[in-house]
Amino acid sequence: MVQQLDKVDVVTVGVGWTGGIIAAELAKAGYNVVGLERGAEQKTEDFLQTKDELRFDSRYELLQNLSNETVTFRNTPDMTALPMREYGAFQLGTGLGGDGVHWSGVTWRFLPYDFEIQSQTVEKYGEDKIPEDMALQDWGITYEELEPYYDTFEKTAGISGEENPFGGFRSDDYPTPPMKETPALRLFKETTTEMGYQPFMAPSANPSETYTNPDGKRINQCQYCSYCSRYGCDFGAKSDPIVTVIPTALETNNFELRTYSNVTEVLHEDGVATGVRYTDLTTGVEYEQPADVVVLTSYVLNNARLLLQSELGQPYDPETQTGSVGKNYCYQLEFSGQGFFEKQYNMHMGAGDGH
Amino acid sequence: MTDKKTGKPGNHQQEGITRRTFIKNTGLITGGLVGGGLLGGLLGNQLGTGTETSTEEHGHGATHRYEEARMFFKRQGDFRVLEMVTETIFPEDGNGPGAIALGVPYFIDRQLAGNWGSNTRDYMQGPFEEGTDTQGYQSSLTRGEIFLQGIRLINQISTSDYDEAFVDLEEQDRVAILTEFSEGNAEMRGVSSSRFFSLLRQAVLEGAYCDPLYGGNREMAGWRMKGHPGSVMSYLDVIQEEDFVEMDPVALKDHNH
Repeated sequence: MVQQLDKVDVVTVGVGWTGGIIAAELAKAGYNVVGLERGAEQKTEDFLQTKDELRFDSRYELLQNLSNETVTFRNTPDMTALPMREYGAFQLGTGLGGDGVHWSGVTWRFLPYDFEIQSQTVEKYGEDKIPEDMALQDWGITYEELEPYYDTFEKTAGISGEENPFGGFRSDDYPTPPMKETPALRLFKETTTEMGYQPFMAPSANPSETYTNPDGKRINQCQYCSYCSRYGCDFGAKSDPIVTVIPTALETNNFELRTYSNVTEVLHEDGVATGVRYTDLTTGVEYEQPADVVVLTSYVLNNARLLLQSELGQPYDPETQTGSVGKNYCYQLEFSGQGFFEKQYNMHMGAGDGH
Repeated sequence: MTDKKTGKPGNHQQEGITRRTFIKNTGLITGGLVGGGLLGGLLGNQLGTGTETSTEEHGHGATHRYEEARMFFKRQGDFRVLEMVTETIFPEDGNGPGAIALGVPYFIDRQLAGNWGSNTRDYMQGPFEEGTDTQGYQSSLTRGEIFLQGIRLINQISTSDYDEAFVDLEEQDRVAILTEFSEGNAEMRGVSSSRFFSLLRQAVLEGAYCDPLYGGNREMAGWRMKGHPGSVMSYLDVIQEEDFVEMDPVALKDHNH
């Protein structure tokens, strides 16, 4: 028996960075927001006295438990999709704050070109540059339109950094200066500068100094302890949703957080979402939460799956290249290099993704 | 030596008894390279004053580690092979202790008895298909089952190809057998031997460098060898230092007063 709940203005599916930002901004504006999070509540105290490589870096304790639920994948349509049985490079988050809790805090802005990659490529190189089977298209929004939101996010999260010499227009500097440079970084900078390159410090959500954001939330100065990726920060020194937007939303009293709440369907009428159905994972009881606005704020694969399960939108068909649900998925790509040096560096110290 | 004093029977009287002979005769531990406090403790128990040399040699006190007994491996023989395998992968040398002295075999035994060995956080439901190389691990075997099968196969190959138990082989022959496993040339059921070897290698390194709370990295000796200071709360004051900063390692126990 599905239990009917009272209608709210907005419901978010998942409460990580995107769910948290939407909850904070709309709750501050006076809307009633409910956040449905399938995982557990967590806070900074969870990470005190647990700087444990085996537990978090090797056994992935903060990631989704794959025994309950995983993804299947294939490289080409004629292969049989098989489940990802254990973790490798591809890692799924879960819990309040989502990946934002155990991320490494690297916070690039896209380049203006990225938003108009199709039209700018054609403009510069001609139609023939894009192969026929390459599903390249413009985003439909431009960097200039998005710039004020980048700026707001960077100020909410206290991002440390310096101007990207190849980046788009910035309405303001980063709210905190770039992070400290290690000898290895200095060597890299000197060498690449001599080679004619323009190295600069990557933007980082590990603030270089203690910072209070416009909502009054404090993010501590990074201690360079190196327990970043796949860990929560024990010092509140990594900008994440649980020290910024989620407490901001909760303080308005317009935001209600429900953990262990797994959304299984977006309800809709005439193509318009009217609410969600979800299960309380602790009791097994199903609920329907009506809302004027439903925001899909879980990981992109879960968002796409939810749309497909709910029969909303047109599924992408790679044969005919029609439809949009599930189209153009792209995982993050990172590049790094390793070398052997005569000198012994303090490589166990550092922050973010690079140690 | 001291049998008259202790009144214990046996043939340990002769001078110059080797550690190896001792270990074989006691039937308690083996592997030839047992180091650290456990050996000291057993020598102390069984041979009375015979302990001094060994204890000094390894620089540890004679601690009897009650927490070191088998949780996963039922047969002692299998555990002996595991010990020798770990020591072959991570041998004692001029840099410091090897896998056995670091507690790695017991670390692995515990890990196999727990979530990791039972794959409790992995997707282990059928249907099982082999898949392509890009689709990753698809076996229905748990890590515990893979270890048990692999460890026994190592000893079988040793016996059939070298006419000796793995624990009695010279290092070069032990390395040759493990190399065959790492290259996927040993025939295992339901899993490749290279997969087994990569798990084995991973577990040995984890046991050597994990926080000592898990029973490996005994006395933080693994960290000390690498100059790794463990779980330090802050490097803020030293992050920009040009030279390598020597620090006494810190374990999680030190954060939990």
